[in-house]
Amino acid sequence: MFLQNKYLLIFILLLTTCSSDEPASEPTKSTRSKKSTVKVSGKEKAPKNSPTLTTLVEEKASPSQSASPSAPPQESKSSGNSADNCRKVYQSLFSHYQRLSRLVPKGRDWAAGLPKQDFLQSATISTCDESDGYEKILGALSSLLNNHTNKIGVLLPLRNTKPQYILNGLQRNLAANLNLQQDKIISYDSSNMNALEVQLAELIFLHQVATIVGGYDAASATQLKLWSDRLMIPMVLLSEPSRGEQHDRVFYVYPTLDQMGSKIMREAKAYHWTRLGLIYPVNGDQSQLANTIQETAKKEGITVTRVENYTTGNYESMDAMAKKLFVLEQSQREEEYQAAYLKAKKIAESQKIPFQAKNVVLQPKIEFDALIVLDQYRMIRHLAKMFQFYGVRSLKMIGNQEWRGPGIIEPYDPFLEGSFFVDIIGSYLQATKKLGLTRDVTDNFAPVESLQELDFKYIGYKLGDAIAPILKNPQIARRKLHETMLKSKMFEAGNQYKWPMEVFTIRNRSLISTSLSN
Amino acid sequence: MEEDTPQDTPPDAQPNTEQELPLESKRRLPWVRILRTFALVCVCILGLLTFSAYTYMKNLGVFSLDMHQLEHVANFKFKDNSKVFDRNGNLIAELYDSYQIYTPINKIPKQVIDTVIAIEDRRFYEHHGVDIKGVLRAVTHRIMGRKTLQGGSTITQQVVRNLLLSPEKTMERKIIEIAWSWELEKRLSKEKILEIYLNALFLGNGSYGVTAAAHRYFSKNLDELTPEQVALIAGLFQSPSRFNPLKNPKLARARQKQVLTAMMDAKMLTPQKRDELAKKKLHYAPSIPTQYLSAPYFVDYIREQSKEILKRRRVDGQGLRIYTTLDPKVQSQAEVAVANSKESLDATEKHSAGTSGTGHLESAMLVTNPSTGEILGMVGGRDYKQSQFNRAASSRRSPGSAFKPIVYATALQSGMKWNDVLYVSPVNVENYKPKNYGGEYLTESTLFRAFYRSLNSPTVDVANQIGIKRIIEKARDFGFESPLKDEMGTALGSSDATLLDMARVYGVFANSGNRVELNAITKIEDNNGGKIYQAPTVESRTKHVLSQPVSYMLVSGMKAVLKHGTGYSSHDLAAIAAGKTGTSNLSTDNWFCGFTPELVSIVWVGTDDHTPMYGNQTGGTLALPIWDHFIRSTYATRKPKDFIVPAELVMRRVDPVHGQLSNSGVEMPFLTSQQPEETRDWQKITTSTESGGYRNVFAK
Repeated sequence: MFLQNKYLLIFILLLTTCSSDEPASEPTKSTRSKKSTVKVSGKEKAPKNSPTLTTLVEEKASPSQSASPSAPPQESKSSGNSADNCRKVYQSLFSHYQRLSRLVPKGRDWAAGLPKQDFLQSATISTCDESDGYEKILGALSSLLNNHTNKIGVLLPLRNTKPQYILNGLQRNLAANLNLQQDKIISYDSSNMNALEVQLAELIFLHQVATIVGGYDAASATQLKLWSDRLMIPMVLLSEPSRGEQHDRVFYVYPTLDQMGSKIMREAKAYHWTRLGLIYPVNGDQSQLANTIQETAKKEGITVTRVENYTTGNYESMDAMAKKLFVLEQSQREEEYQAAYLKAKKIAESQKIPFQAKNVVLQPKIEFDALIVLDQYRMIRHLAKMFQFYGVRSLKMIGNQEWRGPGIIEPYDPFLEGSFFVDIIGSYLQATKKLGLTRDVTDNFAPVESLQELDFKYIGYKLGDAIAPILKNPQIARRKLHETMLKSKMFEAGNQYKWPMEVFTIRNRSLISTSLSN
Repeated sequence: MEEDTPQDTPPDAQPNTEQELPLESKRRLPWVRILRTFALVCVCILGLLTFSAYTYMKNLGVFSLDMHQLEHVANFKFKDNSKVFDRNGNLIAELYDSYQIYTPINKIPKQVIDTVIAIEDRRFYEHHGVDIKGVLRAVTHRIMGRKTLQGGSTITQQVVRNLLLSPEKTMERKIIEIAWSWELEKRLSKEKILEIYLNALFLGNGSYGVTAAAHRYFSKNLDELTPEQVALIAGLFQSPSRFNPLKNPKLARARQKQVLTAMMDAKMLTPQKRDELAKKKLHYAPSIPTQYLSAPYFVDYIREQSKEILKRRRVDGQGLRIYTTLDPKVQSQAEVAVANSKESLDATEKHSAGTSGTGHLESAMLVTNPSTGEILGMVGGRDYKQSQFNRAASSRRSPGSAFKPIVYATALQSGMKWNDVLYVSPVNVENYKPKNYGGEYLTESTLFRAFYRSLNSPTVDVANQIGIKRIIEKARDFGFESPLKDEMGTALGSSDATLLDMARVYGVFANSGNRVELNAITKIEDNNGGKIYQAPTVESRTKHVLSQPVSYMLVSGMKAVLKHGTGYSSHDLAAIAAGKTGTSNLSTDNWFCGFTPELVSIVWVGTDDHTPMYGNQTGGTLALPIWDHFIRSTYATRKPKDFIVPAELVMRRVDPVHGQLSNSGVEMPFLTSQQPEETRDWQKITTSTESGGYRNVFAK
């Protein structure tokens, strides 16, 4: 609500004080204009067709209006005091830039097209009391909100390998597809959260970046989301959207469990399966996906008839799970067992062979059309054998990316024929080609030691795809860049990147990339 | 004849005759008449008796004797013990059912002949089969209640009685005996009859004939016997069982003294000498059968083999000279190895008795030369005296994992590689659900590791892939002769095998893929040196059944059994040998089948009644130590040979779990065309990802 009110205030204030529609990024025009006090200094020129201050304000206001339909429209018209408006603008927007600018280390050169450092840092709320104070503040804001250098700021914990891979994948994409020079990607190691705001300040004031990539971890994502709103700057976060939050300029480019679960369910639906079983290890990271799958199933009208878990790698635990899954416990089917017992005894007597009670086994009850197994391929192979051991003749299984290893088909187990799994990455051969890597890979498999590198570089590469529209349109004002991204149709509701989930089916001793739900 | 005529003379003619007689004669006439009448009656009675006797004897067949039966005696074939020799020509056994050593009459010492004649038939050279005087003397002595040293039967009669007639004592049999004896005397010389008598008659304690008796009672040849010993043997003819000195020494001694008296009566001894000899102590040879001098189970096997080779029902007592492949040194070492296991077997047996059964723990061992197929040693049980059942040749037992080399050989020959990876999980093939020993599941394993650790479920996987029929065919190729069930359990050794089966199979690996038919007999001759049988040459008994590279791959696998696997307790022996353990369900059978290029040695431990053994006994805990002991003692004095590594193979160090090249892995042989990859990282799941996500891209 605070943010919505803030935009509303800005809108009202700007309406009452500004009449110029000139692009804020044109320093000469701006500085000459009497109606605008926006001054742009610096060597770099802002995009030619930068939006006027009025459009900026309108744009700012519109989402808040739409987001807050209950806000009284007359409120904006009722304000006539420019000083008051100025104060409000100052507090809701200018002060954030000001606060951030003060974090920029002294002696560093600011980017061109930014307001004068002195004014930005020295202005106070009492500036609004000056006759041209309001104009000055609006002018400064115009350059801050519109101008950018078409650079990408990166705030990732680069001490860690995975973010390094992501950055590398991003660089590779932008260099290959947009011919973007490496110096256009300004990266900071954000491992130290205390330094995050300073790094952010440098990206804004020293590099005047078009967008910022970060949010690899939850804490930095939270911070960046706040700053995106405060600064009206697009942020591309490597995390999942938090439920119930709405940030206009925050985009999420990372494969999510929801997407994985949704793809699994859509695929299952395409097979006309209405009842699914679900098993997953408790000693892994699969419980979240298991929950997601169950939620998604409800939405898709699929019933998850049985859910069991186990300790992966522990035979006793997996064995017990299999017995429960297929209702093999004698206690659960006592009558059936007794009947089988007597029958076996009778047969043994008629054939004059010794009767052995241990040979009396119940046939498995399969109460689902297919079974989702969220475990690694080794365990899938073992589970497949265990299921066969208990008399399961045929069962389609569904998995996730953990299934992807040559061992899923080598040596071949016909039991797995027709089972499939969903992965975030398609052909490793194509991925390595895109990433310019020479690794010993095939379409379907990569060496285990290269997996992490390939996966995360691929995520970085896809990140590059997601932000490419921004970089392809450098003339668009920074405050409007998010619209460009939305127009690319690469994002779905909640500004989440439509991650292309791949389906691999085990067929004829190999993996076939195919999907019924596409 | 005059007395016979009156009855034919008319009564009126008699006075005439009387008129011619003097008065005195007339007075005596009634007496004459009485006498005549009496004589006539007697003649009639005699005639009647004669007729009756004739009819009786005719009915008995005395006048129509079957001469073919007599031929049996006339052409009597003297039995002779068959003799068995080891590979060095040393006698190891004599085969007989009746202990009999033929000695021609001219080789029998005169002392023996004279003594026997003195006690049994002093008028032997004077009568024609029946000694009337002797009979009368015997009857007289009996009537008068006097003792007689000699019986009524002549030596000829005794021959007839023993060789042609039943032992019952009836008048009929006696008459027939006399008749046969007359006939025999007509046909055979006295010497021949005596030779038969001295060689063929039972003299107690399993011996037939004087030579056998001399061996049996005194461990001497005939010419080595002292007079008192001869007297004892001569006394046995009358009643061998009664006078058996080993059973009834007092009676035997009394009978010996009778013989000495008879010798004295026959002027062979002076009374003083007789008394002197009667006082001498007699030292008998042990009553232990001397049939087997060594390797009794092997000898039993040889007897059966000989019957098969010669297609005879009998081998014992046939005078055969059987030359075998037995190596006395190897045999001795095998016997010691088995005997050495007594402590551990007894301990296991004791525990087993208290827990799951009461079966006596037995052991058997078979040693062969893989390149010739010769059986060098055979121990069929722990104690031949306790149990003569030859477990090394006749016992069919579940080989358990010792069968697996056949499965893996078939797999490797069909193109699989030692570093192929298998998932070790419970398996169910047509409801066959074997378990892994120790419950090792949820791991991966190369074929090589699955083999040397003797994992069951991967083996069934392999067998399922190649098909049980192919495995059975391969087993047949390798010389597995026992029935094989067409079911998956066979892959894990559920079809019973003999030690001979296993020796043939393991011989293939030890002999570079060549199967050589086993052979225990090199030649058989008769007692005159005539050749009856000559074993086929090694070449003709050899068949190439497995490629040399695959054969060596199995050798390497079985070396790994010792180096890294179930035979680890003998790991140092991997330098010279290879082998495989085998344990059947519930540990009822424990095997170790080991080999060097020169020796295949198969060891089995188990109970005859299939009683499960105590605890987790395996082929590695009971059978392996026996093999270990044998190999160490054998190679203490013998330089080991190396297995030949075929040129088509290269040795590579490979991770035994995931199959990629690894300096810290184990050595495995590969065809040069099938060498493992430098890296095979995709198979390698590091420990850190074992329990967690293998590829969790969602976790940061």
